[in-house]
Formats: sequence, structure tokens, C-alpha cells
Amino acid sequence: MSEAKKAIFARLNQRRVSATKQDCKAPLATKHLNKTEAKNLLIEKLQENRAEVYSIPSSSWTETLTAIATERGYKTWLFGKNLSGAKTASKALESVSNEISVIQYDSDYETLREVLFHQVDVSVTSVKAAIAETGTLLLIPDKNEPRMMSLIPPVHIAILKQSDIVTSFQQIANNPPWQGKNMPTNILFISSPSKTADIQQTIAYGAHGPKKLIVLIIN
Amino acid sequence: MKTKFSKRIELALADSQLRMNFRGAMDFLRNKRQLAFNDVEEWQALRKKGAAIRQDAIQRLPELLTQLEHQCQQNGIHVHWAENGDEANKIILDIAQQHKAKQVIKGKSMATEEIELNDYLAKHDIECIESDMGEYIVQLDNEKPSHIIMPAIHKNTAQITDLFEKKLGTSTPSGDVDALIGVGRRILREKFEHADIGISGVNFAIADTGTLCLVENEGNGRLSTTAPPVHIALMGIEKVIPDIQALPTLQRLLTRSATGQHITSYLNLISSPRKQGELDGPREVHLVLLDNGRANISQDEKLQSTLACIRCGACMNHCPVYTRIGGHAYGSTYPGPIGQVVMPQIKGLKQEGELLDACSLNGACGEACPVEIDLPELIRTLRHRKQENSPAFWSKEAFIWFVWTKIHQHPWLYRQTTLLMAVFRTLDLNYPRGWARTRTIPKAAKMSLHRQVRERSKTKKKKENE
Amino acid sequence: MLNSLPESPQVYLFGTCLIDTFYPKAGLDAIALLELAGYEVVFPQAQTCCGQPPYNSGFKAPALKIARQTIKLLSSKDIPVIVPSASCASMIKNHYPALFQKDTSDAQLAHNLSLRTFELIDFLADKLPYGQQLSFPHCKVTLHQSCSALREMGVASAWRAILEKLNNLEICFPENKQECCGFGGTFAVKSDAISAVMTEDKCQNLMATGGASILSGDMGCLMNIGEHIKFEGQADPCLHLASFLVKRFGLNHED
Repeated sequence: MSEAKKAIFARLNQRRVSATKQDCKAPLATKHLNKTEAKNLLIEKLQENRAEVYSIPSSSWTETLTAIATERGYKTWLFGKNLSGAKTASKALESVSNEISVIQYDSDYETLREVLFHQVDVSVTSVKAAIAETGTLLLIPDKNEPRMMSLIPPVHIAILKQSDIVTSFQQIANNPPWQGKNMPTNILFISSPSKTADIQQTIAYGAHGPKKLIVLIIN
Repeated sequence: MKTKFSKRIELALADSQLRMNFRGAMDFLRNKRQLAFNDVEEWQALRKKGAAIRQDAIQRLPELLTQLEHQCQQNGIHVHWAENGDEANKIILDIAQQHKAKQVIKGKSMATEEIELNDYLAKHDIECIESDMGEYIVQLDNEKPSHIIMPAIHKNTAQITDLFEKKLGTSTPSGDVDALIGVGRRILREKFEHADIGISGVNFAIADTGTLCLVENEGNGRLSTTAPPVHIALMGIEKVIPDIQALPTLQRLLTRSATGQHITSYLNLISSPRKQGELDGPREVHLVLLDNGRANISQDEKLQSTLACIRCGACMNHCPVYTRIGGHAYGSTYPGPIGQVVMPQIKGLKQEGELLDACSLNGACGEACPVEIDLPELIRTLRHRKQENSPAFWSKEAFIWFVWTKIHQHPWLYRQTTLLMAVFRTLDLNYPRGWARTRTIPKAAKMSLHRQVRERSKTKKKKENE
Repeated sequence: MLNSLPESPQVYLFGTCLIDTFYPKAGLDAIALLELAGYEVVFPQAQTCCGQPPYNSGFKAPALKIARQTIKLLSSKDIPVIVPSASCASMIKNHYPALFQKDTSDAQLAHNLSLRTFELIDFLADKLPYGQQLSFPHCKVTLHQSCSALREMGVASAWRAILEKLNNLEICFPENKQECCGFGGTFAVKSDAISAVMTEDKCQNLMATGGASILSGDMGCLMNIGEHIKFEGQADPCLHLASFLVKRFGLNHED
């Protein structure tokens, strides 16, 4: 044990104060939302926080991406390996125009750094779950979809299944989509594009991370 | 005689631009919070639960910290213990030197302000760049943050435009906040790309999973903890919570109290360095656990609740004194009510005790606190401690209270005093001077209430006898 | 005795040192109102101060001495203690019990006193014969809710409620109505620069409402506000709520 730790614990263990029982698990009043209500609330909250939301049938997310590509001229797209339709989408995007290229996040950050910081316009990731109450997406980055995907590119497109929407953060905390104490390296709750109000309380988007957050909800 | 603090107060009060910046900002933040907590019942229930979670964690610090250390180590995070700022600085410098680091990029962290890490690293030729926009602005102007959540709240857009022009040679259209943020983004992205080490604070640390939680809007916290090859997190030992079930309550209280947001753009949970096969994230993560007086506070029954603080800043946003003088006047890492409570405890009453005077005990801070810290009571208690610890029998104030007690202890003497005051009521006094700077001196009534009540009962008796 | 009327219930009045010395009329008005509500008022002549000024200034020992004495004085009868000032009421109600070691007899007495202590207007709110009020032409008043009334005592809503029961009365609140007026007892002398600015802001906001009087149930705030308005060369528009109510009920007493 380090000297510092010993000294700190000696102070902490003086037991000069008697403990009182605290009610830490008091249940809080929660909303009960059906599937449609949860989806509508999620959309409302995300839009309040300046995210763009598209609710689409499952077959058409490739079409939506190609429409976005055509309309906005995003050229360099970044994909991971978690989205099952990624290959089809990549092909479709590349066929929109020969200016569009698709990059795979398949080597380590150090190798890809230049490209990530200076070339990628938009990245597409999956979403593990979403919280309706606050309009929040839960991302669990892994080797197939690394952390930087939702951080460095100026536009982040997140693809969410409607069935993965829950009402509250507490629900996720109580039943987490990971195994007990085996926490993933990184867990992200994302609720808006990157923003700041540090200059005279005026909100500006795209402070350091994505300037745009586009959410596709697949029904 | 003027103390330094009172001098700083006078200067702040004389700066009308500063006063306007703070008033505007505080009104804005208070309104936003009010809107976020418009359901009073929900707010009270949430607050009660938040207070219980924090109180419980403080009571179980030895157990939770042991668990946190063990679990972090299991996850591959290096854990270090620092008794004070010096030790924390040395630990961080050591890590930096091992990696031959020249440039550090920092996420917002009040704990690093507390130990004055930037200055320390600079002395050892390591450049430490603040990446939170507010902190970056403040650092650019060689200042310290004036608010724990909004570091540059004392400046307005025009002042920041000028600052950027002067220091960075940029010219952005007047009033164009987006353009200013664009400048910051461009410069800081370059730093994120090349920094050797990222340093961050910790909002909450989950003991049973060994997880560091960071709450932020900008994404600079995520970048600082993801891009550089090494991440060092510094946290006060009080920030530990037992499990992730406790997090939603605290997160809601924190963000709503701080900025009126139901949630921030990012809640970032870090549990380990980059694992085998993963493609990004730091290869090394260090957690520095800082005591700096906290363990002793946890053993003081009356002051223990100081540690419940989740650093939301609501107390300063609601403080009429902070609203007037701003953060810098306090001359301390943590300003406002929580600063008045924390600073004398970590730096000593002798050095920081004067902060305690700048409070009218109006109670607005305690009412706003999301974890039910009775800040006015803590300030009062510390005022008592200040007198008990260094009883200045010879001070003017001690003498006044000595005489005051003698008078008020003896009802007869008290009545004679009020009588004297009534007799000499016409004297044109101009004392005490502090009072007289903006008020006339109240004049004693011709007849005290005591006397009038006596006369009244005499008349009554007379009438009854007739 | 066969024909004696039933005795009126008794209450103590703890007048506060400020009212005693500077604003005795507010104290007499408090007595008049309590009598109107059917109480016999007991005013112990040995009362002085509640001890709050040294207590809040860091001097606990003097406060303890005064508290012991006041507790003893107000405990010979087990009757309500009425205080015409939210701040002093709070000292007795909320802070006395904390002054003593748990489970001592002093603590018990303090606790008992705490339960019997009420702020005047809050106590009276549901006890006045509102049917008996005189009729007045339309009038606008400004209510200053003191910090103690808002927070430690939680009686600010009762102040408002009592005014709302009066006829032809428009009640105004200043901007930033929850904010401290800058008094804070010795704060006004010790941190005079900040206090001055807070007082100036508060008075500006109060005056901007255009109310004919500034009403409150805390004489400390009213002294601070009134003396500043006089300093600015204007007439003091401050009135204790008790004094305002006395007029409304047509209760006259010799000054």
C-alpha cells in the first residue's frame, strides 16, 4: 500500500461520525409510455436538442443515406462493421457519384488519424438503445465501431431500431445491456450534436465534436 | 484596514461591465434551472434521493474507495493516491515524463484547478492546453475560471472577440459566437490530434464497476480521454458512488441544476484503456485519487455534508453576493457559497476564513442545492469554528460582543440601555460607517416597547380599579 | 365566581430587540391584532434579544447564554410564543434546538419552545375576523418577502394570503422577489460594500412597483430598506404587516 493511501485511509477510518441509514433506492415516479409514445417523445426531445430525426421503414435506410448524400454532397463516408446493411449501403453510396468514397474503420486510430481528422465528412454507426425521456442515444463502441466514429467527423448518422427505445436512463441502469461488472471500455450517451454555451450563454453547435447529429429510426 | 478580499470586492463592484455580465448570466441560468424543475414534487423527490445517495457514499468512503481501486485495477486502470496537491502534481508529472510528453490537452476539471496543475507542468516544460471553450478563453487571457461550470462567464462576446483578435490574430464579425467557436475548434482540434497526454476530471466514479463518468456538452472531454495515447483522470475522493443505479438520479440533478438541461450532449463512461483488438482509445489510463483535506472533512459531523457536492454551480447562480461580485473576487479555486465552505476547509480558516464574511445567510444557495447541502448552516458553523479556533479576545468585534452579552444578559441593564438610546435619540450619529454608506442611521423610539407595554398595563389596571 | 367570562387563551409576545428599541409601534400593533384574534398577550419584561446577531457572526458563546435565558423566560407557561419577525422567530424555532447537546434538559426545553414558536402573521392568518375589516379605496402595496419568511420559516405564502383577504388591495412584488435585501444583520456592516449594492438594487426594484407602502413581517429588512430610501431623500414607505393590518381593522391605540 502506498504511503499516501495508508495516510488517507487512516484519516477515513477514524469513525468519528456515526452513520445514518440512507434511502438510496427510493423509486421515483416514472412515466409509462407505450411504443408509439416512447418513439414520439424520443423524436421530440432529439429535435429539441437540434438532432435531425427520420423515422423510416426498415428497408429504406440505404435510400435515406443516398438521399442525404445526394442532397448535401457529403463525400467521404466512414463505416464500421456493426451495421448489417453496411455493405449494401456503401455500394449504394458509391454509386451515387464518383466523388463519394466510403472508408472502413478497420485499422487502428494511429494509422487512420489523418484521415479521421481531415477527410471524413460523415460517419454512420449503430445505436444500442435510446432513452425517450431525454432524447438520448446509447452507443457502446467496440472493435467493430470504435469510439472516434461518433466524435471526429463533422456529421454523425446514428441508426436506431425502434424496438430499442426505452423510457428512462434508470431502466438502462437497472437492466444494462452489458454483462454485470464486465463494463465495455467505453459507453456513450449522446443527446445532441456537440455544443457549447460558454460564450455569453449563446448556444453554438459543433464545438469540438460533430456539428450535426442525424438519427434514423428504423421501424 | 482593508483586507485583500475587501479590496477585490470593491474593484469588482466598481466594474459595471462585469456586474452586467454576471447579472445577465445568473438571471439566465436561474431561469433555465427553474424551467427544468417546474414540477416541484418531482424535484423534491429527486433531490431527496440524490442527497441520500451522496450521504451514503460519504459514510462508506473507505469501503467504496477500496472497491473502486480494486475494480479499476482489474480493468487495467492504474490507480494512484495523493494526500495533497503537491503529491498529485508529482504523480502526474512522473507519468508525463515517463512518456516524454511535451504537450497535454485538458478537459474541464476543477480538481486540476485546485492543485494548480497547469502552472506546475509549465514549470517542467510541459504545455498544458485547456480544451473546454470557456477554459480555453480564460487561459488565453491568463485568468482563472470565474465559475465552476461556465469558466468565462465574466466576459461577454465583444470582450472575447477582442481577446481572440489580440492573442490569435483572428478577425471575426462582431457578435458572431459561431465564428468564435469555429476558431477555437480549429485550433484545439490540431492539439487533440497531436497531444501526448489527455487529462480530465471525473464527475462520478462508479465503485463496483471501476467506471469513470464524465458529463459534458462540447465533446472536448471525450476527445481528451480518447485521442491521446495516455489518459490521466484526477478526482477528489468524495466523487465515488456505489453503482450505476445511482447514476441517473445524480446525472439529472447535476445537469438540470447546472444549466437547466435534462441531459448534456455527452455522458461518457470509461472503464478501461484500449483493449486487445480495439482500434482507438488511450493505451494507458491513470486515475489519481486526491484527498487534499477531504478525508478529514468526512470525519467532521457538522461539516461532512460539504463532500456531498456534485459541483453543479447552482449555489453560486443563486447567491446574491456572487451575482454582484463574480467569481474572481473570491480569489479562490471554488467561488460562491460552495467555495466559501470548501476553501476554508482545505486551505485552513486562517488563510481563507475571510471568505465567510461575504454572506448574508439569506439561504438561497441551500434552497437551490440539488443534494440538500445546508450551505448557510455550514457557513455559520465555519464562522463559529473561526472564532473558537483563534479566539481573538482583543479584537474589536470580540469586545463588542462581550459588552453586548453583558447588556442582553441583564434585563435591567438592557432596559436602561434602550432608555439611554431613547434619551439620546436626537444625536446625529454617523456610525457604523459601513451601514451609513448608503443608509441613514435609525433613531431609537421615544419610548421602548417594554415601557409602552408597562404603561399600557398600568392604565388598564387603573381603568379596572375605577 | 359564577358569572365570570371564560378566560381568553394566552400567548407570549417576544417583541424582538429591534422592534423594542426602534419600532415599538409594530410591537403594539402585534398586541392589538392578537387581542383582536381573542388572545391575552403576555409580554415578559425580562426579554431582551434572541441572540441571533452574535450567533450568525460566529460568536456562539454569547448566543448560547442569551438562548438559555430566553428559553427559561418563555417556558414558565406552556403557551404559544409569537414573534413579529420571521428572522428572530427562526432563531428560536430552528436554531435554539441545535445549540444544545442532544438529550440534555436544555435541548428538551429548546425543543418544546421550538414547537410553540410562531411567526406573527402566519399565526394570525386564519384567526382574524376578516368580516370586520373597514372598507378602503383601491390601494396598491408592495410585499417584501424576507429570506427568513421564504426559506427558514416558510411563511411567505401566509403573508401573501393574509393580504389577499383584504378588500380593494392590489399586491405587487418586486423583480427578483426571492433575492435578499442586503441586510443580513451584521453582514450590512461587515460586508458593507456588497450589502450596499444589494440594498440599492432591492430598493430600486421595490420602488419600481409603484406600491404606496412596502410591507413585510421582518423589521430588520424594513429598517434596511427604509433607511436607504431615506438616504436617497425620499419618505420611508415601509410598514410592518401588523401595522398595516391594524389600520385595516380600525384598531387604534395610543402611541
